[in-house]
Amino acid sequence: MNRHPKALALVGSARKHGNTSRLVDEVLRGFVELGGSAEKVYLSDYSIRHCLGCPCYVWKPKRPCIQTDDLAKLGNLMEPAQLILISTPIYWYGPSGLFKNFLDRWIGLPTSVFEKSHVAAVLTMQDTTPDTAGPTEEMLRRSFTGGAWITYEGSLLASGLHHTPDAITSHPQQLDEGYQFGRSLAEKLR
Amino acid sequence: MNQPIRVLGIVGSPRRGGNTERLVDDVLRGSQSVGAEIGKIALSDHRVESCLGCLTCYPEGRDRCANHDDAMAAITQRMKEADVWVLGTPVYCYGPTGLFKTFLDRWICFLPEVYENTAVASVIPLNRATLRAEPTLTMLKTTCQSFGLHYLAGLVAPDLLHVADLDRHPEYRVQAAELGRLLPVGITSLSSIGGVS
Ligand SMILES: Cc1cc2nc3c(=O)[nH]c(=O)nc-3n(C[C@H](O)[C@H](O)[C@H](O)COP(=O)(O)O)c2cc1C
Ligand SMILES: Cc1cc2nc3c(=O)[nH]c(=O)nc-3n(C[C@H](O)[C@H](O)[C@H](O)COP(=O)(O)O)c2cc1C
Repeated sequence: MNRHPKALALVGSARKHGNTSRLVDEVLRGFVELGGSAEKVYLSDYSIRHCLGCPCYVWKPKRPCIQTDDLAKLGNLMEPAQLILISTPIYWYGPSGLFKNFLDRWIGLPTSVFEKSHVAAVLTMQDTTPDTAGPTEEMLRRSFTGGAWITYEGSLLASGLHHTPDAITSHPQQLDEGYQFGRSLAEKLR
Repeated sequence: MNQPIRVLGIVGSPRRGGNTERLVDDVLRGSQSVGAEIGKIALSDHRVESCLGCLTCYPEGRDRCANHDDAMAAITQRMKEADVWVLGTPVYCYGPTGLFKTFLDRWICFLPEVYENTAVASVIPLNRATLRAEPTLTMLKTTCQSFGLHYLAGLVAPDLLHVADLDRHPEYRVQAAELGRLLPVGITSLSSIGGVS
């Protein structure tokens, strides 16, 4: 319990002013209104190399990832946050490669980064058929449930977003859902 | 149709000589044994930048990325020259590897009409049970379908964590070779169904 929970949002689209980023803003607005604090970063500003498949997860004792890119910096930002808000546009029925490179590397971060963390996700896409986001939703749900440290708070999907980066501005209802999602997350974490 | 069928393996695991590459090699050898011409690309040997999502290449199609001057142009050229792609990725966090997904995203600037007659098979090793490959398989299949590619078959190979684990599963290697032998046949039957020469 914490009157002022902290959120770190990670934008998984390279379009900084795109739909994903704007929807994340709404979630954070709701979160901050109920007393939380928030920081937003763009994955595209960080150098995140793909996982090399070493495999670090069988090393005993656990050692950090051997790669020397910006992943440790992101880990340092994630560590103090109670809410890690991940986000990605749907690219080919999956997450963006930018986001997936990041997700694959979580395994190489120290476990202290995730201790007592809550994770929630924001997804955006062009299609209106919810099935299009199905594999990504399942990938995230299965990745984040069953572990000892993380509580998964589910994902919010905005759809029907035509390919202009500001398409979501003509979907006030979906923006409002983002805002409400942010409020409910803050309520849960307070 | 005297030209041999050309089968191109694309390896999306960062581990050279890992389970994915070994199984892709088995598929390719199977195809070669029935007269196909084979080739292979290990994505980890190449620089493929992630899609910026600018969508200047979409929906008209540009055939070339407007932003990145990287290995994708050469990889695309080899994909155009092939009749069948064997796409290999292990399951990482219930999805394809970031390495593979980054490559897949770049298909956005492909012109679908160029690949009308292309067929695809996939090879997906994973540590756990087959069911956990489901999201990865769906991403691959539906993407191929949305391009009008002929998705033929996938080999999901569970219970493989370390590279040597494949030695405990000789049956996968047999299945991979069998898949490889069938690919050129699959293409021929597809061609006759589609009325393509
Ligand atoms: C490479 C690429 C692949 C895409 N694949 C899909 C898809 O499979 N289904 C879909 O509904 N939208 C797809 N889209 C559209 C985006 O998901 C959609 O425009 C999203 O809102 C973009 O988010 P952004 O504005 O934050 O970049 C794709 C876009 C790109 C660039
Ligand atoms: C970062 C990472 C994430 C992984 N996630 C999964 C997973 O979610 N499910 C699974 O069954 N195996 C998972 N694995 C195991 C790999 O799928 C397995 O080791 C596979 O055989 C690797 O293929 P390769 O030898 O071609 O690299 C993961 C491995 C790594 C390195």
